[in-house]
Amino acid sequence: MTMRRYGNLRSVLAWGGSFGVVLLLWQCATLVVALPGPFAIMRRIGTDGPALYWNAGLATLRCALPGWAGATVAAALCALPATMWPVLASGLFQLGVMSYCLPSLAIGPVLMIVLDGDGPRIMLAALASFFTMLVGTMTGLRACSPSQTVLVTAFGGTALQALFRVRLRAALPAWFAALRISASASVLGAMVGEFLGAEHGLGVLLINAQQSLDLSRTCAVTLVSAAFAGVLYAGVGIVGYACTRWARDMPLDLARDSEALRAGWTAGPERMRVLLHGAGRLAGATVLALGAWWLVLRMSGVTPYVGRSPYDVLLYLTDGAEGPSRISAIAGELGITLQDMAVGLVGGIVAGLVLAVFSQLWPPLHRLLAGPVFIMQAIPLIATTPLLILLFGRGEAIVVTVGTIVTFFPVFVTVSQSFAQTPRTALDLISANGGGRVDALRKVQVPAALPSIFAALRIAAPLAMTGALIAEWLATGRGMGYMLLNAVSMSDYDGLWARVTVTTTVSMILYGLVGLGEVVAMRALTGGRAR
Amino acid sequence: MNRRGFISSCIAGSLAMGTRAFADTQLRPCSYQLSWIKNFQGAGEYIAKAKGFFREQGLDVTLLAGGPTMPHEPVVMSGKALVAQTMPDNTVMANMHGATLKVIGAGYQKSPFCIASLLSGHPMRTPQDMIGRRIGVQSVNLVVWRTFLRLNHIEPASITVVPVQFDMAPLIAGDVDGFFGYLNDNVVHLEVAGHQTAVVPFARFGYTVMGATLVVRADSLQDPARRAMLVSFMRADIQGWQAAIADPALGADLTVNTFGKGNGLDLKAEEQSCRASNDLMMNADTHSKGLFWMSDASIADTVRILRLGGLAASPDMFTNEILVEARQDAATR
Repeated sequence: MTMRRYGNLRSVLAWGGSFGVVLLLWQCATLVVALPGPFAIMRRIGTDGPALYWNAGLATLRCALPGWAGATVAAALCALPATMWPVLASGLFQLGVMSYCLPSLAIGPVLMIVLDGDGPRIMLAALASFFTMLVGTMTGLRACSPSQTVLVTAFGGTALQALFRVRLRAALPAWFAALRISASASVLGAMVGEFLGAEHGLGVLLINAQQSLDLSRTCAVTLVSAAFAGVLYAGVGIVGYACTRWARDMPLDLARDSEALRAGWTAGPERMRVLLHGAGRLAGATVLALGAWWLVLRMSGVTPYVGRSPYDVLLYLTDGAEGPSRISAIAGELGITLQDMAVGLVGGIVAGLVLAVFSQLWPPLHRLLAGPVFIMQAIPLIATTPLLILLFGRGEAIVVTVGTIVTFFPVFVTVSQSFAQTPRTALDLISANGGGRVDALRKVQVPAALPSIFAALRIAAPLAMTGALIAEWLATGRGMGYMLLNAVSMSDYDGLWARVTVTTTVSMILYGLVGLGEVVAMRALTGGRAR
Repeated sequence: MNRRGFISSCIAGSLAMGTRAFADTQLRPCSYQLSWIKNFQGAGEYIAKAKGFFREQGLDVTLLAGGPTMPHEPVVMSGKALVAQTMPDNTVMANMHGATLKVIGAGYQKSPFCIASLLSGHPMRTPQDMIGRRIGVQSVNLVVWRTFLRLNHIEPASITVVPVQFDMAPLIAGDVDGFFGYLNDNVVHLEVAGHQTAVVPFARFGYTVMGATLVVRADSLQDPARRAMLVSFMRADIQGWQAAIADPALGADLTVNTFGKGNGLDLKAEEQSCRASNDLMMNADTHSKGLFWMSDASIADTVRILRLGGLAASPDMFTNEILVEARQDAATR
């Protein structure tokens, strides 16, 4: 007990220390770069009056919270039937992936005309959190061991009883973890929505600050929005901690879920069957995605001037006279974006892996990094990219920076978690034979982390696409990110929908390819025994 | 505010809205799409709403805030707004892609666009000064930019275009030498922030295109109920803008302290922007025909220049019929 209390105190101190380090580094950086330091920003918040930021934050939360709640409910409504009837799981999961891969920059205008009032902002907040919640809920519902559910049925219980008595309780840790991550995502989603037009909110405050060249207020708004996201994150964390005390020693790995799904799909040794399975799944996902698209279009009654069906996009791309030139234009933009995405992804993987390895070799680093890592996760990129441009210019450096910022988090967290879960016995074996931390990493932990690296990659790949689109839109002025916005500016909705389709499809394909790579790598690593 | 307080205030707010709607059942509801988030560009509408001009015309007008990534034409096409404030080049592009929009008035008689530069950097006062420089242009303004270069016989390749948004930090940081902006907005902000500015005003160098145009769906001109609402709207809107022009401080006050309250707007800058807008809104035509009037010469100029920029503009996209009707009714009442 005293050990635990001492441990809590230490981690609180480490968190505090870690934020202290960030502030100190930042204050030092202001000596070199023309950005206001933390003290200047605090003074600014004081002179403006905290009410300005507080009220703007509440206005943003008014859209973020319903979106977050809606996404949580929707994810539960999808995950519950998927757990009880696994047939549904793959389809629902693909829809989740699609929502995750949609470029929110481009669908904003459509949401804007389809929904009234706060609707567009709530929807963007919901889209930003849905996939995380879906994964978290599905993982949670699979968290109980089969023996536990068998126990219920053995005593004459139904599947429904098993769900209520065992599964729902076991689901709490993963569910809370997802809830925490999606809380900050929903705040950022609502802010992106405010750029489409809003009465009040942090995004609106930011636009006015940037327009009036008020750098210290721009930074203050950025920091306040990170703080709002942070308070939600921490609040959910505390509630989750209180609700799941019993599960403290249970391993928790959000990324493991889709592995479990995939294990089901790739079961069976015959290669042909696996391939057929894959093809079937791909066809199913395509049909489902097109169906959802068509249905949303029909139900929302969006004006045909803006809305385009899958068939319209097909006609646009296969037009006899202009089709080939349209396809080659889009292919060229996609090539640039894929490159931008790749450098960002590589940056994120390298940064995430290196820091995970170093914090494994020197454990205090892990706690010291908590602050900076969280801040990077919680700041709105749409606000900070203009500031980053001042530091990194408009070349390759900014593409790498933005890409790294968005992809680094899942890699670092997932890999660190995997390191932490290395079986005690394996580590003991190394140390008994005279090996040190480096040997343990090299021989046991890094190979054992391979599945989580792939899992992190799967989460990071669509994020890298988002990062590339933002960097192109705001900084480099080329590629798909710029042309998506250009299409909106030019009222070229055919071009917009074609590009949204291509971008989303490519993101989904990449997501699938990483999954395939994972299966192949796991088989190679375990000599085909894995499953 | 605690959570319960927050929730109950939301509920109280929606109840209050409900009762107000009940009291105003006689009023015809319609929406106006502002071009930007709530700032000085809607001063006339704020006055018309606050002083009850819309209400006197039997209208309950909702003012919808715009934003940086929002296209205005689809909001009108979808019927979400009856009228939107936008720019003629955007409207023509929308019509080229299947929209059926008509321009029923122009807030700005001349183009507000300019390239702003710093006296402390590379000040530019004529289009030729821009050659060899880095200019920040928003993607939404690229067509106007290219048209302006063609008007002034400048080779596009002789200038480096840098993608920017509304944040002028790149100009201050020296990342760009010039910034595509509004005379009555960006230039005012630069000066209020203490930066002495040089400008290349587009209107002075051949870009004689109207701005802040009001667009409606073509079928709104045919539909009797919507047409009547448009006439009422324009009558109140003109009244609002007359008051805004006469008293820039009033428009700025409503902008900062009522409609854009809590958004961190600066009263001094907004008032200066209101004053600067007056210059764009009035000329000899508006003196004789009233605000928003589009003279044949202005329409011809606008169409000619937009065509030069490769847009399929035509004079029949512009119509003064609502303005004419609004004036007639006002005279006979």
